[in-house]
Amino acid sequence: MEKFKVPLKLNNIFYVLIAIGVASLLVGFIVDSQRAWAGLLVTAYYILGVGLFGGFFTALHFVSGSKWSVVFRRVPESMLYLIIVAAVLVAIILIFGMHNLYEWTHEDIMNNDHILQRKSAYLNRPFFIIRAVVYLTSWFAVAYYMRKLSIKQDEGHNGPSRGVLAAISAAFLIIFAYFLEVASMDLIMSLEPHWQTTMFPMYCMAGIWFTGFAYVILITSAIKSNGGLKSMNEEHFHDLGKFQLAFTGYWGYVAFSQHMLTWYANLPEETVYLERRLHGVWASFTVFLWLTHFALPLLILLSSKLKRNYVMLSRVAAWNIFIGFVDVVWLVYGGIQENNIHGFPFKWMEFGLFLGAVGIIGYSVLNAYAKVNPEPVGDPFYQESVHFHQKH
Amino acid sequence: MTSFEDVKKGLYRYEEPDKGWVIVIKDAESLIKGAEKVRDAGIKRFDCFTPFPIHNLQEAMGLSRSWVPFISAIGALTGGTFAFSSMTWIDTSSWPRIIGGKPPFSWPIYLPITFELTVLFTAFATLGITLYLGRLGKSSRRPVVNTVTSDGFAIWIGDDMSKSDVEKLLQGLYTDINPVKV
Repeated sequence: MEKFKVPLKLNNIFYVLIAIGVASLLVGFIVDSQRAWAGLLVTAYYILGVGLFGGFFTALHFVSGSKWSVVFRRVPESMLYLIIVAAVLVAIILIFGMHNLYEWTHEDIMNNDHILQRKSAYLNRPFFIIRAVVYLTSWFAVAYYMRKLSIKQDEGHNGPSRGVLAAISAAFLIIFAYFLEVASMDLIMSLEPHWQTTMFPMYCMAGIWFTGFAYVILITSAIKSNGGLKSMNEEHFHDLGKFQLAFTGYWGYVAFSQHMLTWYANLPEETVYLERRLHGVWASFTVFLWLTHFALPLLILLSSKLKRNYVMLSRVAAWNIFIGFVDVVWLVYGGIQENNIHGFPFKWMEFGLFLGAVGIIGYSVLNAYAKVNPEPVGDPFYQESVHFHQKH
Repeated sequence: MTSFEDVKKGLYRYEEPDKGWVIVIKDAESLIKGAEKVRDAGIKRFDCFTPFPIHNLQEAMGLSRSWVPFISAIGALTGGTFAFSSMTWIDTSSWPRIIGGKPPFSWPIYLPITFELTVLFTAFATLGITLYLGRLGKSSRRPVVNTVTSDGFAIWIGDDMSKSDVEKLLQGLYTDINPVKV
């Protein structure tokens, strides 16, 4: 099967987007370096989420023995290089920006705070960096090995069986869940070191799934409208749309659970999180996020006609990747607003960084996809996936 | 957007085969082709029998959208409104109490129950409309073809056709066309 060629026009758009992102980051450092560090953390975490989602979707596909998603499996598989991009951005933050973001790295604050002293066995710089290295490298290593085996499947009898792929996928799912818990607590939750909730990693995971499905829809639509993925039809997009709808509901469910339990129990170490986000300029921002991250996509995606039309579906997905970014801004900026983030949390710099992230993700995924066989023809369920619910 | 007229036109309600012909079909593909042929011949009273749901059979039979989702949506709205408004009424005017230091009108705590009653009422509405449209709950029913509940498919044509017309209409399908007079 002929490999997909990324159109020059698309690549040029991605270069422009990446340039906008880099420019707004640089201008941001000149204007307000505190805000720029926070913006960089948002971008790094957002890109990491999409990269991890690719591995998660592929692993889930193998573990559950899915057949419908075989046709476009190469797209989520090609997302893994985003983990490296995110690792570079996280490394920049760890080397140069930790003092600007994490208040527990300041020794004078640490020494005068009884609560933080008790947490210092976990919250200290060397252990933090060791954890970051461990989770980033193990995610990438397992995802890389999984993709390599999956591509080898096209060789026919020499390739691995689906059982082998399911085994490595199970390993990926375990490190995905456990290390994402660590990563979300380290990178975002420790911005507010006095606050704690066990629901938080789940909220981060829900956000990653929501944004990830939106990216799969957008990238497969982009490939399809440029002449690739010919075997993918409206049935596949319908199911992707159903997943997008399901995870819109799931995000709302987790966000509400966290909110309601915090409100009900009324414990000081938990309520500080909502207290910060429900006052001043943040109140309208929070309500806007809840309405447009949950209610709006949920109502639009109920239509089955829309989900079967990939042009319409990708418009909803375009909104979803944006609001997914806003959600990460809400998490990170809300945590450090006390030390220096003033005014409305979403301004030109955040929008520029969002465009840059889209450029990096689009460029990385499409060009990785263009290097391999566009459809996994060696998969035993390939034909079944092509003829999935076809019209007669 | 589906208009109400479209919905009414496509309203499917089960009809007991009382006259006409029943043709046993051997696979799902042929059933869909057969349904298309009967639909294109302009026959209004006909039905398909299958042991499991088949994709696209609805389009092949010329039915438009089913009523079930609309009735489910009405059930969902009724349940949600009922739960939220009744709790609001109880907590603010009928019997206001302070529990756990929270004000009488504490809407976050209403939402789980609102959600649950929404689901419950949706389930009742869906079950009810399904029983109604399928004419279920009937005490006795005449079996026309016994295999349609396990591995067989059948088309019923409730029209005054001769046996040879039925055979001509459905020829070329994977079936021994042997219409049974109902």
